[in-house]
Amino acid sequence: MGLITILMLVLLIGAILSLLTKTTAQARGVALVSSFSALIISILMYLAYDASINTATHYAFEESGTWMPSIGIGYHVGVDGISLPMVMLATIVCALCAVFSWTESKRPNQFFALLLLMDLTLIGVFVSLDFFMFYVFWELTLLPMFFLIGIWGGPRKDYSAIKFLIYTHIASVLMMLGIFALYYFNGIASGTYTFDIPILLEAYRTGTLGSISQFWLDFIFITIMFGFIVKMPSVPFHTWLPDAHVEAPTIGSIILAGVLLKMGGYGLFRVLLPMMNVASTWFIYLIALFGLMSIIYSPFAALAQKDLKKLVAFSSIGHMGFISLGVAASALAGMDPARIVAHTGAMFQMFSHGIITCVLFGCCGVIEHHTHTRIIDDLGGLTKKMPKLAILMVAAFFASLGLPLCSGFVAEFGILSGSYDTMPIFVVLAAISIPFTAGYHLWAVQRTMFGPYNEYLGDIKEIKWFEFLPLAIWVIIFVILGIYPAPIIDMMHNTADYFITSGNVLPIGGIPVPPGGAFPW
Amino acid sequence: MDLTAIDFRLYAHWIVLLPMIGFLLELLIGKYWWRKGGMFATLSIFGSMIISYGCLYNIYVQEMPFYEYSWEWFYPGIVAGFTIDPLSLAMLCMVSFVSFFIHFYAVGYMAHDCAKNVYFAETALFTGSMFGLVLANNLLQLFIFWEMVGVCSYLLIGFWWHRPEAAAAGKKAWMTCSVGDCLFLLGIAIMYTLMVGIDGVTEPIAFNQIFQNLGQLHHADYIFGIPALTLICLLFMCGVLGKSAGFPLHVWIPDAMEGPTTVSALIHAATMVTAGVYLIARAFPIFLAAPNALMVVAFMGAFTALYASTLGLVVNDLKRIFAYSTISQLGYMIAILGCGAVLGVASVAYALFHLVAHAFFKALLFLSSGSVLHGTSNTRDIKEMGGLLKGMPWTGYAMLAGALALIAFPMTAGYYSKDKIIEEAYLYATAHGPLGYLPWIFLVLGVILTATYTFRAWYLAMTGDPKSHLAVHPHECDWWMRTTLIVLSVFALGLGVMTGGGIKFWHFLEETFVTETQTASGVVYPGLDMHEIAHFGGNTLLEHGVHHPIPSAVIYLPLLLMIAGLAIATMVYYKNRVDVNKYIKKDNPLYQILWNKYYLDYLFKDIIAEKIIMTVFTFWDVLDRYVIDGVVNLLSWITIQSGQVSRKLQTGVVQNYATAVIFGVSLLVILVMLLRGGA
Amino acid sequence: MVGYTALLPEGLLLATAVIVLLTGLFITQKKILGYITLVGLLASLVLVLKDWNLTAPFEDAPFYGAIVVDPFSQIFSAMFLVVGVLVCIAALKAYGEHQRQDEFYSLMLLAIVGMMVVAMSKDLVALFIGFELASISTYAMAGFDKRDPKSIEAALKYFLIGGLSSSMMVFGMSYIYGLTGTTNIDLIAAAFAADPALATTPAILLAMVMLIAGFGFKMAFVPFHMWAPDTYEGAPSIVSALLAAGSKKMGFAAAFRIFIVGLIAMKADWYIAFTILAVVTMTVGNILAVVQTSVKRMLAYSSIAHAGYIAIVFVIVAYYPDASAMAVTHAVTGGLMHAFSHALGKAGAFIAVAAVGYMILSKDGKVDDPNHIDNYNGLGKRAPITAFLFALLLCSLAGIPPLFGFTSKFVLFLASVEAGLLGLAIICVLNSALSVYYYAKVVMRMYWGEPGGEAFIESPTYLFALALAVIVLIALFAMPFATPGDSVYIWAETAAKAILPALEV
Repeated sequence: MGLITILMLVLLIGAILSLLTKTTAQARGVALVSSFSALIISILMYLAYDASINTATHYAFEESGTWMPSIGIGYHVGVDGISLPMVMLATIVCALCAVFSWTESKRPNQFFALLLLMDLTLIGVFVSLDFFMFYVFWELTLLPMFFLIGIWGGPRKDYSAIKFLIYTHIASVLMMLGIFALYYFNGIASGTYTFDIPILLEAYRTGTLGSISQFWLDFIFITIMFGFIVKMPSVPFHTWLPDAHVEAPTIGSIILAGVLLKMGGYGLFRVLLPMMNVASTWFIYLIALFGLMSIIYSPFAALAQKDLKKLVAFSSIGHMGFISLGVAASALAGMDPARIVAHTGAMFQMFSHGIITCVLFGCCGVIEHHTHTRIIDDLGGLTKKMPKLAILMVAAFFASLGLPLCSGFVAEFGILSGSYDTMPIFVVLAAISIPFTAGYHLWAVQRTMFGPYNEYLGDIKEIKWFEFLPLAIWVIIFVILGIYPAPIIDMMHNTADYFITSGNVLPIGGIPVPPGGAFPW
Repeated sequence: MDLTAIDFRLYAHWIVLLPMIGFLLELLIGKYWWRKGGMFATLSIFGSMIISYGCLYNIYVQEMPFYEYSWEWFYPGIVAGFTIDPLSLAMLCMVSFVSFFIHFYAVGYMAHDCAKNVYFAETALFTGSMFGLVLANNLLQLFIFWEMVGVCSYLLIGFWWHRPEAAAAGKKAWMTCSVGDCLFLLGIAIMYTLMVGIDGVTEPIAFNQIFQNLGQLHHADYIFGIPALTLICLLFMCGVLGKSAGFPLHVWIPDAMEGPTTVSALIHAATMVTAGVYLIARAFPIFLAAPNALMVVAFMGAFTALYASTLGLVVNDLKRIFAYSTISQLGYMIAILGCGAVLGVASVAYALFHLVAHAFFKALLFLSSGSVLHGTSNTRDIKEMGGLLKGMPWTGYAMLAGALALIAFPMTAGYYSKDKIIEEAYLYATAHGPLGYLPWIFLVLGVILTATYTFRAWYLAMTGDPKSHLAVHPHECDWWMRTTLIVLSVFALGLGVMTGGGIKFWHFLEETFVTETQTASGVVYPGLDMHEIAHFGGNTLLEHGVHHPIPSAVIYLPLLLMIAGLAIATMVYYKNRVDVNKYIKKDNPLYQILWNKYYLDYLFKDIIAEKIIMTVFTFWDVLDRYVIDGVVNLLSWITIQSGQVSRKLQTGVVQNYATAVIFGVSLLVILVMLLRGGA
Repeated sequence: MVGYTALLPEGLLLATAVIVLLTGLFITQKKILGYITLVGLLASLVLVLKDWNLTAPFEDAPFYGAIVVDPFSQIFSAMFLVVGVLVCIAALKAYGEHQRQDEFYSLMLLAIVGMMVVAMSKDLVALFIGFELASISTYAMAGFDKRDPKSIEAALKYFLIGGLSSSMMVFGMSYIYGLTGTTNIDLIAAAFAADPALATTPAILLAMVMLIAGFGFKMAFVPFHMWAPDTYEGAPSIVSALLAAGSKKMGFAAAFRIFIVGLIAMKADWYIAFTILAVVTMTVGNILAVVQTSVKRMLAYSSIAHAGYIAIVFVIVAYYPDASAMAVTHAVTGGLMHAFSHALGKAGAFIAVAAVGYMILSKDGKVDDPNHIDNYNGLGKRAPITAFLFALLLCSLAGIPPLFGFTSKFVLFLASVEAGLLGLAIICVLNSALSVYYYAKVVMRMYWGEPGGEAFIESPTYLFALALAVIVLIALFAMPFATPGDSVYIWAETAAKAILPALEV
């Protein structure tokens, strides 16, 4: 039994145990133990990770077993330079969330159990190398979040929870159809029916799916893409996210924005990237377009918000847009170094945004918890009462608007400068949106933290230690990664380098744009 | 220990690191130490100053080769590093010196502020970032610290966060700069893309490698109909306009005066705002190789110089007057860099000399005005001052020294730096034909205005009778501040003489770019042939070293104009021969235009920011809520409604059920009949 | 003679029925009868599982090939028996004190025998006998709470529509007999093969539609479904469990045999018919389920929707030219798996409703409708275990992992994509996504609705039945980890193969 299986078992057992506990202390204890041992295991994996491993056919800590052999479903897990950072992200975020919700008193056993389940299912998505498993975990992530929003959520929780559930579920079932088609045609062509991700992608990429029409190839691509795009989410499929965030409890928002959205981005790398060569080229521009729309759309939508948390929610939509832009740009034919940089940047954006957004939502949560409001107009001058929070929040907001020496800048710089080669117009438009992004971040900080203190808020207390600690750790992480990103980015760079230059994932030199433009019309 | 034996160049990275450490110490434990903060920042900057002057000693006296060090940063080819050459040294020594003394001053000035350690932490962080910017050997590092100093400026302007206007001013500063910065970043991205395409380039955005490859770069395709290099330079220029407060992005500087005066002195007079000038100087060969780029630089600079000095005439806020003069002086520096299209690297030397001189006397002016605020409990309106010279002689005479240097009074630092700029601008004009005279004319006109508004301020504040009870018994500043004022006055007045009228300085600076640079990795970047590079950009340099005759009228013109301006000021505000108040009226259109700053703030804030963008935002919200989300909700609504409707069919009457069965059967038969025909 | 051991399960059940009936006359402590029934069911279940892939044709006297025991019949028998076991356990609590529970048990046993006969029969007559046996016993069961007018009404509607449908079915069968001269399904197929022109006559078309209507009544296709909600709602919950989980599947067993084996020659026709029926059924079922306020009614409509899903099996089989292709095999296999998972899930769900109704009536006293969704508010607090198991059962019905309902749906929809029926596949998945809505609504009520009263005492008997269902569902999803191979899939596939080879015509 390999590390990954142990990792998942630890969380599963922890979830079951904490469900059986009675008091907050017991549940918290179980949750802390299991989530932190998960964190330790993921760190062990990181230390033992061999970056030189061939990432398209072999994976680190790979395990495979049978599940339902007669329809080719297997238990196949493994990690590489994309998924290992995501696994670490999930474990880091969830472990610190367990600390953050130290005093959770409402149904603590269920709360912590769901937290651990969330962790488990997210990790499952990132490590699965079998489409059945992948899809199972992909669906399973819905349940804990549904309950987190529903049980601990705000006034409109019913609407938000059900919207989140149905909206993303529809996207997933459509993705399922794409997977089916891929499975079937591969079975027809090769005679062996299997859901194994590497095999299927290899078959798709090398065109050994048999003589099937471009329609089916595109169908497979577009359905799977839709599943990811909605999860990221990209404008115009984003409306479930702000509602979910507004109603979700702080922990829910942190995990939702920090890790759950990353499933979509992860899918782009793991599943869509190898397919891009065979599918119609204009899909690549479509992905980039989704990214660009999110980037440009989010600041405008954000500044109109009254609710601090909703504003932050829109900020994550914008940041996820950079990922799709980077992926798309790095797939097109261009200069390899630039494409590698764009690719690495996009990968790093996933990790970096995962950390930064935790602090953003954490601050929203702290403010709500201490002042009992999130409406920006009701706040102001909080620095007077909670200077510690002010430091964290200013740091996080600046990191989020792309301040250098924070990890977000590393990623966004990589994406912009790497993508210019293949997608100049997109990059120009994305760059122009930066002042607007800066605008709403500063506006929010100024209105909440600075200016005269709003006396109606009464005498509010300084941030608690168990709230401060996780936020501070996250801040330290993104600052360190902003100054010295090598620990994470090297893995990603190896993988990106392999994806771009090996020819086993993308064609060598990238995907050429057909004469007369990519678009058929 | 023999200091001269040390190769300080190897410790250059500590110039950046020490203040950063100082920042952390101030933030974490500064509160619990000597005077509740200030020690760590000041000491760490003193350390940086030692190393900087050590490097200066290595290069200038011991004539060690220029030195560059770089190591891999976050992406392959994206490096961090530092470069030691006359250009960076000049900035380093100025920044460390001025910053150290301003910290020294602040120990007294901020003595009574409760969050003192935070203040010093932020200034230390700022100084460190400024060093990082100056030492940068590549565009990205320069940009990174460019943003860092920006953020420090934001935090320090809003240091008194509880005052709404302070917070707003900080936001305005950041927003205005970020407009320029995003374009600057775009320029870097384009430069990266161009450089990556060239073989043998290991560090695509390192300055020296860019300079070495200008030959290929200027062959790059046009982008959006503009030569690639020119586009890049224009994008850089946007960043410069933001940071160095060039027209039209200068609007944030006057508001930035909301911050503590030491901040205005350090950031918005001496150091940060000069970063833009430094960027052009550092990237000078690129600008030179880009067709028409320098022309834009020259005209923008010269226009800013004149434009700002007109505004300086009407404001009554002491600090804002100096803020406008800062804008205008920066215009001078940018203008002379633009003239580099003719003068070559010499223009960098002239610009830097004025930059250094300006740093001293403008810091002096701000600090002395800070002392005035301090002494008159934050009176900032010169209409409410008057006769302060009696109450605070140290301050008054220090300010006088600064003012003299600012208006380029003979033998002061400003005299050598500014008049040289104007002369050389005349050479540019002669080389460029009729249109080329414009920058020179702007600069010359700027001189008379500068003299007038500067002494208007000084006379109104220092001489005559007190115009408000606050000004009656001003108290003189303490010795911390006084020491600084003295030191700075010495340099403001004497810098020119010390450097032999600037000659030494210029000669030292002209070595930049044309001399080879050694790197730690052993690679040697040969010196550049400026004429060849200028040729890429279609520019032709004047032969260096050859004497170019300038009519003596031109040489003495600035002096005369300065005297004229001084005379006007004296007549009006000292001798009170003319009553200006009859011109300051609502119905005086000229006054109205100046008073409203040419309505530029109005345009940016009220029209663009509030009217246009806010409307867009609200519209966007509607779009998001009712169109995009509306579709989603509509679908669910339709489903439920159709359910409610079809529910009615379930009557509960069994006859209807039977009917339904019969109906269904017959319908099926019919349908199959019809469809099978087709099938 | 050895072949007849294959009929042992049925024999066992009949014997148990008789025993229960007779002993019921004498003893007063009737609770024991439930246990006897349970033993009988379990025993025959064990027998069925033992030789799950046995094939025993009874060519000679006394059956003359009218019935056959093959994996196909076995898997359905197992389905019915499992449902029977669950219902029986629930009945131990529901009718533990009832005076005439012996009748209930024997009726249930007979109904199950009838269903098993239907699954086995290869002859229209035998099929009809089994059909009526099952139907009539269930008519009686539906009205078992004879003091409850709703129960009586339910039984009445069920009986009337049932009679109508049966008559139609017989009508159709008689036509087929008249045209082909035989009632044996294999021979019918042969007759069609011999004379292709036969398949195009209007008479046979009418016969086919009549048969569809007849079975559609049991499978509750729209528009033959209208009795179902009323009956399921009115009948005692555990009887509804038997109806929804058992007799509905009996309809499918019959339909599979007759259409896929017997009437394959005219698949072009029933392709059209079933396409319309499947789409309409699942859509109407889901949309109506969304707006229900009674949980029991909601479950009724959801089982209609599930009938729609299973019906796509016919569409695929008819649509796909190559009968031995993976698509067709997957289709029938998926259909059987989904029938199985739905049987378990729906039986469990109805039993859960029974449990909740029991608790509410025993605690809150008289409420007008114990099944109203408002009574489920805060059930997670009032009856945590019941709520938890109920939620899991709903997950299985909604096709959300980690339960068998997900796997079966997965295979079923997979087949539709494989067959290239993209439109159908999209309609299916969108429907299934919509169905999540009303299942989730119940879960929301249970977990974050405000409790209407203090905690319940949960009856262990019900909990045992529910836990059994849930454990089986989870096991069927995850068992392959433990045991090599994937038992249910293989069984279903074998069963599918048992009826598919007839396709090569």
